[in-house]
Amino acid sequence: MKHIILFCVLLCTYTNLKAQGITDGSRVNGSFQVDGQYYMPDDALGINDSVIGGRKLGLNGFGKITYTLGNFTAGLRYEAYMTPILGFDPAQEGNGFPFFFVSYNSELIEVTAGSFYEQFGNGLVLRSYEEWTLGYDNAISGIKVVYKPFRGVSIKGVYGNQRYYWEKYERNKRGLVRGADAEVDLNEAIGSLQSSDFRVIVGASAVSKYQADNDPIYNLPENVGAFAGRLNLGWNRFNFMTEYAQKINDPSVMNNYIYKNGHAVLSSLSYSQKGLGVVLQLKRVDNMSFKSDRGISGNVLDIGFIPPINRTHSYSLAARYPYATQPNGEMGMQFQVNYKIPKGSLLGGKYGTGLAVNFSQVNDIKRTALNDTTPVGMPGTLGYSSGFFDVSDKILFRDLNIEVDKKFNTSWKAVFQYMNQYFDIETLQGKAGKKPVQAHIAVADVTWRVNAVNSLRMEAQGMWTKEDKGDWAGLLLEYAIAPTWFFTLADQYNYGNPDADQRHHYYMASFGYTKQATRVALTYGRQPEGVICVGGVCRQVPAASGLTLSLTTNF
Amino acid sequence: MNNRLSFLAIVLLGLTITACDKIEPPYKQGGEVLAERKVLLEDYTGQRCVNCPTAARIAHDLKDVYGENLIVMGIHTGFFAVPFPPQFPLDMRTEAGESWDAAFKISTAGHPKGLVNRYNKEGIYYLGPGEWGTAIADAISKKADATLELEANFTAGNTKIFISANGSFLRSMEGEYFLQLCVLEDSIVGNQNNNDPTVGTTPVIENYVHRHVLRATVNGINGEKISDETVSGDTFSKTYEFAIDAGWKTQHLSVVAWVYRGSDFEILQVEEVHVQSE
Amino acid sequence: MKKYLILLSLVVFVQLLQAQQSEIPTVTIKTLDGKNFITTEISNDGKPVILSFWALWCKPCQKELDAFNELYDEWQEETGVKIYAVSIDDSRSTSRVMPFVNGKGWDFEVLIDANSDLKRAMNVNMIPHTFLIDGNGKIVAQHTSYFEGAELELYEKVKKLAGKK
Repeated sequence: MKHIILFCVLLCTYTNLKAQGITDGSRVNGSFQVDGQYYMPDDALGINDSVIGGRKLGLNGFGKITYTLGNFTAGLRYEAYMTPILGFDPAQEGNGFPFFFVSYNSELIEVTAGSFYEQFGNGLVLRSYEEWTLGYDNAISGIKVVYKPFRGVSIKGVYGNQRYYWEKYERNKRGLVRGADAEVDLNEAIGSLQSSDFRVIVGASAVSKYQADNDPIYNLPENVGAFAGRLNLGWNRFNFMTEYAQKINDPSVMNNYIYKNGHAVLSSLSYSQKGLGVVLQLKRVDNMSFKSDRGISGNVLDIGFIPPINRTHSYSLAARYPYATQPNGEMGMQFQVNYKIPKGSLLGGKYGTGLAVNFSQVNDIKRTALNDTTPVGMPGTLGYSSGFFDVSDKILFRDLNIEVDKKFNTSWKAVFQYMNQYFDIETLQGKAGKKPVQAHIAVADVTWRVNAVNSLRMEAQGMWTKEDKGDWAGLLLEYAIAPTWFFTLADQYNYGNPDADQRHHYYMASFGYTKQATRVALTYGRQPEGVICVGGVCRQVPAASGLTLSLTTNF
Repeated sequence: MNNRLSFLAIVLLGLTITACDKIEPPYKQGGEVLAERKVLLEDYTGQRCVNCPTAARIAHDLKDVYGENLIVMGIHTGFFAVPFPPQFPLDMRTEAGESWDAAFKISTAGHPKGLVNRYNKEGIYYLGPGEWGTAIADAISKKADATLELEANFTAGNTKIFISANGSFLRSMEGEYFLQLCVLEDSIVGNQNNNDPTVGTTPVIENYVHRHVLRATVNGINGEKISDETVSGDTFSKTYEFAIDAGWKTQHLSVVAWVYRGSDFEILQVEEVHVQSE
Repeated sequence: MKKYLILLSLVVFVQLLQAQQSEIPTVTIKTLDGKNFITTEISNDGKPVILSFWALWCKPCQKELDAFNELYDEWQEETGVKIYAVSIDDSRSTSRVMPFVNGKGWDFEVLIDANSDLKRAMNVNMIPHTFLIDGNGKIVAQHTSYFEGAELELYEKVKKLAGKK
């Protein structure tokens, strides 16, 4: 009863304000997405029951609404994981309003109270973001201020606690985060540099977390600070970016309670002109896991974000062994060349041919023991020492890929890729005792444009390796009637599995409808099993068979 | 304008500069710890789980701090506990363990995970090893709502254990209460996958000593109901005779018993006793 | 608490029933050079604007932008339309966007939305997602997904916008 009265009062107030024209210029926007899975038994895969991990149905959904009036914006998001889809952490189960905010946005200042996302520089010391497909959300709930006092100068401040699934924040449980960032675009700020060939942007951040020490074993620092400085230099066709971050002692379950400082460096140098782009990226990470709760492991509550610098693959077999950053230590590089062989040349053909070569490698860092009596990484000590250039011979990941992108005529175009990957499956997936996976992968993605709106895409993939599950072959056929309908049939066949009983076909059929911003897709098929090892926790995701429905729209 | 900017900058700088605790050695705490009652830590683990030896070491560091007030139980469940001969021939799984694993969603969340006094937060019972210390410190500082005394002796030529468990409720509470008994075997030697060089060799520790492994429950997966509604001073007394498995080493067996609330499984008091020979 | 929020959203929904045309929200992202770029700077002298979200790992997005690139000269001559391609690549790939764009020879203005701020503000859930904006900054059409030939339907709408003037 009380609620109905409140609703009427709100409605009347609103209609009143609207009649007075105060709400003119206001807008309501939002979107929602639902991903649902229904699991079915599958004798060949050994699934005897339609209950997987205790559930028959997985449903992940969210709906968000934003209301804007002049400089004010307010919004909220409703989420439901009833129960979470296979592969998602069971702690996500639940539903409610985890995200709501009010903000004021003007040219000089922007203030947000409530939940928000933010990134300082490259995110090394602070990045709060969400990734729905991975179930990742470390939104900060508190207050954010962005202040732009002069042209080219931007100062940010944040204060709050991070989201941890559905667990409400309690004092003395998980930590608080506060941070400040300043960025100066020298060309904008200093009038005389405005037309210079040199483009310079500098930035600095300071972040600290507070968490009470209730631990019975260790003397833990309650306030841990991390600092970063960055520089972005551009000159004609060259661009140089570098960011260095340092964190003071932060013993946590992620680094086995060592009291060593941490540091990370991310740099890149690139050259580009029309038709050619070259880039070299370098990264070093040493003990940079920075979470707002030192007792939590897993893919949650990270304050900073250490980016993996290797190519994210779009084709399924190429993405079978994805690299995940090792925040406790890694040193890597990536080199990429993009070139468009010009039209009319011999190799270029009538339309020109795209060529891309990408190479990346990540090694572990070399750790030296502090003295003769303390082993490397011993908890309750300073851990180890590692000089800036100390890199170990142990290769964690290596990926060489070559891509050729060609349009033959108005009806036919294709993308061809060859990859050579090295994946240390023991370190990266916890498969103890297994040799690193070395694989050759080839993909051919051919599109036949039947007529103006109908097209047929054929994708053939192959993976050849002696390790882990052996060789795979994949085939996909997708027929589309632009811009509305698509039908897909696909199969991934593990024909080379050393265990003959495990040579399964993982087939899939799906069809979908897209109209404007709405997309609905229904898929029936099998998913292979996998092991997910993230943040010191390994869990096995069983193979599954069933129906998946995905719906997204906005308004 | 300039003043405003400087002021803001100083405030922001102040916020962060005051926030830096550099710790000097010694890094580990010494000294006395407060314990009002005994607490149970269940360590869900597996012989092929590479992250688990680190968790087992944390459990032992905590046992060093709390002594006999912390009772640790290692429960081998799920995918990572499945035997894999010839390197992993042992099967340390139990029917109870697998049932609790499914009920508390341990395997879905990933090993290693632990339960402290089966306390739950909004339906989530499991805790990562980094959270065990603070959870135990919290639970162990709360006064007990029940007392529990336990005695276990071998009979019939060391093939059976005679157990007697009795205790009382210290205040009036609603709800159903249960008594759960388990038999544990300590020091089982076998191989263990490992990725932490400070604990042992990687990728496998040979002749790893598996401590306090759950071998079986004495009175069923859910124990036995001992009260429908308690009144301060109510007592309970139960005896059991349990036949052990021939493969278990009699000198390493112990019995763990606990009283728990039926509605949410939370443990009121727990006790452990080494099985005495005849 | 939950119930009040549900009520609040219901009130707001009432407003929704009177559909209003949306504008691009005001969000600060970056250019390829790393400079701040506020979305209010998106303009084309009253001529139509196409805003398309893409990423280095999204093949259909790249196919859509390749298709736009081939027709861009023609489109610009006929209607003066301007294309903004917003990359949602985060800091793992931000430095690879410029070389990639140049290697492809794309002529659009490329913006970097590294923390997905604009993507969230414009309620984009899956990419590719492309918006058509008229001369007054109002969003007149949008579509998600890309299949060969979809650009033709988009262009019909662009022509209508340009002809309308």
